[in-house]
Amino acid sequence: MRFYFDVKNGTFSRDDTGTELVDRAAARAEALAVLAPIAGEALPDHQFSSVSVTVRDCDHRPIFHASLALVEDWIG
Amino acid sequence: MGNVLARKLWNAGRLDPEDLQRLDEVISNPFPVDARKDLIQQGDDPEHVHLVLSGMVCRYKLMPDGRRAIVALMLPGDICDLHVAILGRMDHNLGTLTDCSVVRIPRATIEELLENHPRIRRALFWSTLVDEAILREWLVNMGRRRADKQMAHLFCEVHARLCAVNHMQDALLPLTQEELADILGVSTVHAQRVLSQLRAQGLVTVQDSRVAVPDVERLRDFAQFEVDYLHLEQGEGGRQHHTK
Repeated sequence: MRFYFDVKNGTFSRDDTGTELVDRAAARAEALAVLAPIAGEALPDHQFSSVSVTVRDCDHRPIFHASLALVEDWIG
Repeated sequence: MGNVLARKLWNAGRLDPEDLQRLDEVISNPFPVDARKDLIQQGDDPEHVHLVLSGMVCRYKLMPDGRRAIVALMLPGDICDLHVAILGRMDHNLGTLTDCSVVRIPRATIEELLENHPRIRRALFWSTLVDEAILREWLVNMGRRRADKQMAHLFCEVHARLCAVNHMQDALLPLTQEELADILGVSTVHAQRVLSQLRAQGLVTVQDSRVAVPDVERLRDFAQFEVDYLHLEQGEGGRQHHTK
């Protein structure tokens, strides 16, 4: 099954290639796995403070959404 | 130089005609292997070492949950498992990534080369040192480079290594997104995403799972790639052999 992973972190990037995965559970795992490195690499350097991913199935229907938010404050 | 093993070892320093003749004998019996086949598995106690004449082979480990970590790429001219001649049992797997042409070199032949051909012995030692240098760079790559630079760095390396043995057909690197993910230690989707970013910036082009590098210098700048760790000095490599 092919799944598409659209990522939004300030800008929206639509996935037109997709990735072949065994099932929806694998697609969820991939979606979560993709958030962490994006957050680690991009969030501290940019204005925006959240990253989200929407998974579409082979018919391009959205089936899963997850987001990660960074909360930061100077406290002293 | 038609012999890709000799071409590679030439980087370590000059070889004499008798060395080249011996290396021609060593590669005289290649056989084809399809893509995605194991050459040798963890735990095996092989009687041969493998030399790649064409195609791409990877060194990999499997996690208990089935995930794979690719820890080295072997390209034409590379001997995959020279250490087997000395260490014995395999502590990892070797598998083809593409259709390959491979030579099995008996352990006894390796022993004979080490015993009787000092320049070849030195060159084989050189090649294992370069393998270590590449592994060091991969560690830096995984630990300290952002995924897009990491992937670009990998492409620069493979490109340079293929060019060094005159195997850079149309500057194409045959790597799928799964293989890239397993090399870089990221998820498949992340690998796909990073590859798309490199494409969008015009640093690479992709066709049929093959990556092409349109402008090597630009990609090297982006990846901050320094070619020195590959030690490709072409016949003047490193310190010259001291003859008695």
